[in-house]
Amino acid sequence: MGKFIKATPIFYMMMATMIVGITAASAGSFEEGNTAYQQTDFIKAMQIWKPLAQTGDARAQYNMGVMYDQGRGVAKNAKLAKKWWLKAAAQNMPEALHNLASSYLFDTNDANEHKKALAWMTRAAELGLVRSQYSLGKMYLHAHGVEKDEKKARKWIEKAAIQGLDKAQYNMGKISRDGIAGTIDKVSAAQWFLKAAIQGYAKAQNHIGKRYANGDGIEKNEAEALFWTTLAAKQGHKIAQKNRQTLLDKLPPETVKDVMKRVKAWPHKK
Amino acid sequence: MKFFMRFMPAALVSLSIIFMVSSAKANEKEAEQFIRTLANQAIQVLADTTLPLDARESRLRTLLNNSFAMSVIGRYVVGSSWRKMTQAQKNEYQKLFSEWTLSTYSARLGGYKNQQFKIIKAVDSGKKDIFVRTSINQPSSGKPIKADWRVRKIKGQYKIVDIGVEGISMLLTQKREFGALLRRQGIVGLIEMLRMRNSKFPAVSG
Repeated sequence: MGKFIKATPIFYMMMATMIVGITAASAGSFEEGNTAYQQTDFIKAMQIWKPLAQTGDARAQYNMGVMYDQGRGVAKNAKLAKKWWLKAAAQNMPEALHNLASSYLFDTNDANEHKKALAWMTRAAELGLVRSQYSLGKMYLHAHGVEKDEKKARKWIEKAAIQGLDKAQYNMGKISRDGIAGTIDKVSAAQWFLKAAIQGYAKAQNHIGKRYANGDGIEKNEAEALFWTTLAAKQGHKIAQKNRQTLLDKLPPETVKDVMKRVKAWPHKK
Repeated sequence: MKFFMRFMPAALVSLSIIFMVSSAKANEKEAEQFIRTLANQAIQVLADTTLPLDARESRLRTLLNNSFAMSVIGRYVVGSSWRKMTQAQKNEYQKLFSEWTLSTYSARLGGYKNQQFKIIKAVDSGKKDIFVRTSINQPSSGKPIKADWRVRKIKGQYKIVDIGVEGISMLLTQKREFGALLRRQGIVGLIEMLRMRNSKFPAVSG
């Protein structure tokens, strides 16, 4: 008669460890999940990421949230998106914090939910996410989910502008122009509009075009005005199209020709 | 001459009716072809795996943007609030609305591996639109999704003016949702909501 192995607690622990080990060995890696996702095999991506998410991988938790939020490989489910993003947010994943705030700020009038959205967005902004810094600034500027606070609005929009976000630079142009939470500073306004214009932001191109045309915060230069206004007009900016015509009617043909050469050579494509 | 003038309007109407009746089938075929061409272009854009998925989807949105009557749709869903918007707000809203609509519906309907897009038939609504009925086989569920593409000829080109997914109109859904938000938060609230929703991050790759 053979010897029986006694089913002691140690035996059960060993069996459990073996099972987990085998499961882990056959589970996919995060990167394999990403490969499937990039190939639009969302079901496979989810099959790989779900166990990783369940065992605490913040990236997998976050991506599970994205898939439920967008309805990729699963039916759209805002509650499950939130559930997974909350898990990733608890590990301070900035994108999860940002997406939670962005999804839920406008979905409700509940002041408690607004407080949570503000807290999520603030953490994401403090972690350095440029989009979150900009969004937080806008929340304070327009009193969305929070009391209006122009000083905080300016602070966060400026942080995003310094990091290079074109929209934020454009908004800093307006903030400086209008003296929001500070003095009116036309020179600074023109510089911010120019930074955003260089990045191809049409509204900023129109604004800096006007400033060059009028010598407003920047030295008057009608050729530069035509250059920037043309770039904005080409992107469909209606006011720029009108302003451009005014300049075309005014400037000598040689100047117009030179400017159009520069416009053609402008490398920026959005 | 007077005799002819009395009967001219009736004759013209008869002529136009004849044209409508005889061109209806051609329009249905044209509308089908429009959707078929669009689907093929979308598949080609998404198939270029040298680019990450975000980049492919960004290209897809550009393609789709030209095929949707975005300004018509955008105006419809905000109703009377459109007239209250400044020009700058209208421009901003249309840009954000377009981006958000295309992201939402392309993620919902398209781009899955082994997806099958089947055109079932085109039906003339009898007014100005044609419904192109399609069936999209989603790998996530056994049952194909029914999508009706409502197309209209605008300035000689076919454009999509609505999508009905499982019988639910995108236009009416958005009108309801935006109407509620406009009442709570106004035009600035709507614009900021769209901006924030568009600012959400996609999946991370590592």
